[in-house]
Amino acid sequence: MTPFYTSISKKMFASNEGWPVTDLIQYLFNGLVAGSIFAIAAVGISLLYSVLRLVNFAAGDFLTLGAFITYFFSVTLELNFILSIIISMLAGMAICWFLELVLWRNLRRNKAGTLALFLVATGVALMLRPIIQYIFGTETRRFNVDILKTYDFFGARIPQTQLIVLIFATISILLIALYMAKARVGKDMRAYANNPSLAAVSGINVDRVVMATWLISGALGSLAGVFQGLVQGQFNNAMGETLLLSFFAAVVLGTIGDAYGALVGGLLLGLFMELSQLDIFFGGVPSNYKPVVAFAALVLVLLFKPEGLFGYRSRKV
Amino acid sequence: MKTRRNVLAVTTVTVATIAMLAYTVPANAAGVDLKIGTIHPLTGGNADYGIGLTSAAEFAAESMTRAMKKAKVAGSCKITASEDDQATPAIAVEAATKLVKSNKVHAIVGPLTSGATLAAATSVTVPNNVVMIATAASNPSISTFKDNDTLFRTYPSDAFQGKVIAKALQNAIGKEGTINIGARNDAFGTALANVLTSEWVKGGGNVGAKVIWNPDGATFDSEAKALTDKTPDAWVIVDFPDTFAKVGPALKRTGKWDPTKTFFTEAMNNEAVIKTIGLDVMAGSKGTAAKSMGFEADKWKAARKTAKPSTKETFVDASAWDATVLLCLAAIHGKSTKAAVLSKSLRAVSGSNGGKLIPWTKLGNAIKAAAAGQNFTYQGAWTTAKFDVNGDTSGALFQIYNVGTDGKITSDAKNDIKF
Repeated sequence: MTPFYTSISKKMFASNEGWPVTDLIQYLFNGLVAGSIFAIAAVGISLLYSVLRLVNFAAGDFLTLGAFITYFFSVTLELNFILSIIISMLAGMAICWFLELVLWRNLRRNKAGTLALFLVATGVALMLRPIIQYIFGTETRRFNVDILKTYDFFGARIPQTQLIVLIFATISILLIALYMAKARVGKDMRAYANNPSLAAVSGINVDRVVMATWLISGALGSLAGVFQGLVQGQFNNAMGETLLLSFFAAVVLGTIGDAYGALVGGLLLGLFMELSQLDIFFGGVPSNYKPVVAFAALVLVLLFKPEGLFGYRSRKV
Repeated sequence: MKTRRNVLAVTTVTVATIAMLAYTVPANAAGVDLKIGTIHPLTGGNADYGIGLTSAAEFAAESMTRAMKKAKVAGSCKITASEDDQATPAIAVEAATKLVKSNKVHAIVGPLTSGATLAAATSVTVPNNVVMIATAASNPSISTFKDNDTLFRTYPSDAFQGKVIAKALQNAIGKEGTINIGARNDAFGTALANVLTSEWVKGGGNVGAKVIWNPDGATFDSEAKALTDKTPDAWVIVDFPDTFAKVGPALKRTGKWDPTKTFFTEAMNNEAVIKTIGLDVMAGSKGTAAKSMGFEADKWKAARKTAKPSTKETFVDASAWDATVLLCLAAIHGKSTKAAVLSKSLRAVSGSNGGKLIPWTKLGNAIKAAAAGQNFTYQGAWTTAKFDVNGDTSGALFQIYNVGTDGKITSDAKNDIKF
């Protein structure tokens, strides 16, 4: 005779029988994976805005570049995959460092406003796209990893690559949070974001703060690109620009300029999109309306908290 | 002084007369210089198709110009610019704007996709009264699109393909089987998914799940789950290669999807595409695609290979050849590059008004007939167009293809479906 608890647990975890637990696990996992990538990319954007008042419209293209550089080292040159990711992050940092030295620093010295900086960032994005296309082509690329392997977790299918992405993304998110909270430069960045003039007169090395912001942003952009390429299984030169809107939505949801907020905003956005497909939401929202759900949630949040989820805390700091 | 004045007056009158004559009378009364632009995806996931179609259009223009010289019919037929739309509607609009405003083309061959075609037509070619012949756009709404008779296509409507997939499914799983449909969220995907749903239900079948995905989605695992939650008798996927390269692995990871029970559409009818997506995802699948119903299609392929040896071949290339040849013949027939004349003459040379058959192998004869203003039926390498009032071709031929375990695509002509 089958024990009672076995029968119940079988029912609960068999999605076809109408019990939502397996579905919930599956969509929760999918949401966390998507959300963690949004979060990592959104932190870079948010940090740049908080420190430099720069809306980095080129963030999506840095993401694409990161994926392609990793591909070049890991697939074309057959280097170790982790090493290739590190090289890609270093390359992202180097490009951001270079752009800071030759472009952004001069624009700031010339008192360029937020709109001017935004337009220049858009110009950088428009230049990066054809450069990426010219160097790497437009063909669909694929990392040398097994994207089909899955693990069974209470009936839900957990892809190996996505699990690895989720673990490493979580570690990265925790490290960023820790860095911002404990490291000297992290604290300086928060202080500078809160009040640049006061931070400058209190002895904070502004150039070091700005450079650190760019380096973190460049590294995170590359990392998010690799993660996205792994999650999708394949990628092409249009990968980053198609996700840009979601990144900015995550930034706005978590309060513009608040790095912690961007982390939470990204995760929530991913969860909203995926969980909306659960049957309990009016029989499941059709997948082509996922962005509608996410942006409706964003609008709702902004209606009640126009400054974003972490707006109050930001003002208080 | 008086003599000098007279000389000046005579010279002025002579120059003015010559200038007027030059402006009003062409160098040769039969000569029309037709400028054509092409719009196809030359980069991105559909680039294989776009490059093949562009090359075929160039081959057609070169062949026509040579044949015109040989037939001693003045004028020319040139591809003046080939634009890349990346199969994206917004970029197609930019490409069409450049062709019409900067390159001043008289007609456009392309785009490849329905979304790009409808966008370019709405924003550019219809308002500017420029004739456009789409080469692989299949959305049924193109037929009824208000285009002032400027939009044509050489590829059959999905009103046909919906029926073909339904028929292929009936043969595979019976009339009352259950299918799950997955489609991309654009003009091509949603329209074909709707036509298929209607045809399948009308025939007595059931649709278990219909999942429409956004090609720009960050992940596709939830869509794959929705498409496989209830196991159907067969799946139908309406997608382009670049998106399915992401959806396919997600479907495979569900552990419930079976590619051998899956039907695709024409976009996967290409071995290079199968290789890119991966054999572990595509092997054993089937699909439907329009097929050349042209005259001696294999001979055309061989001729193109000789003329353009470096171009990779796709199944639909000849569609752009026919579109270009028909435009050139129409310009010769109407002795004009004006849209209204081209539209009228496109029907006169494509067989809509009847007339003797002239195959693509006898371009010289077609050119002479067009120059003489005759109605005739051009038999193309892809189709015998016989454009109807909507600018659609009058017939269609479809094949059912199979993807082998080695990635090779095969089809049996016995299973072809003709309309």
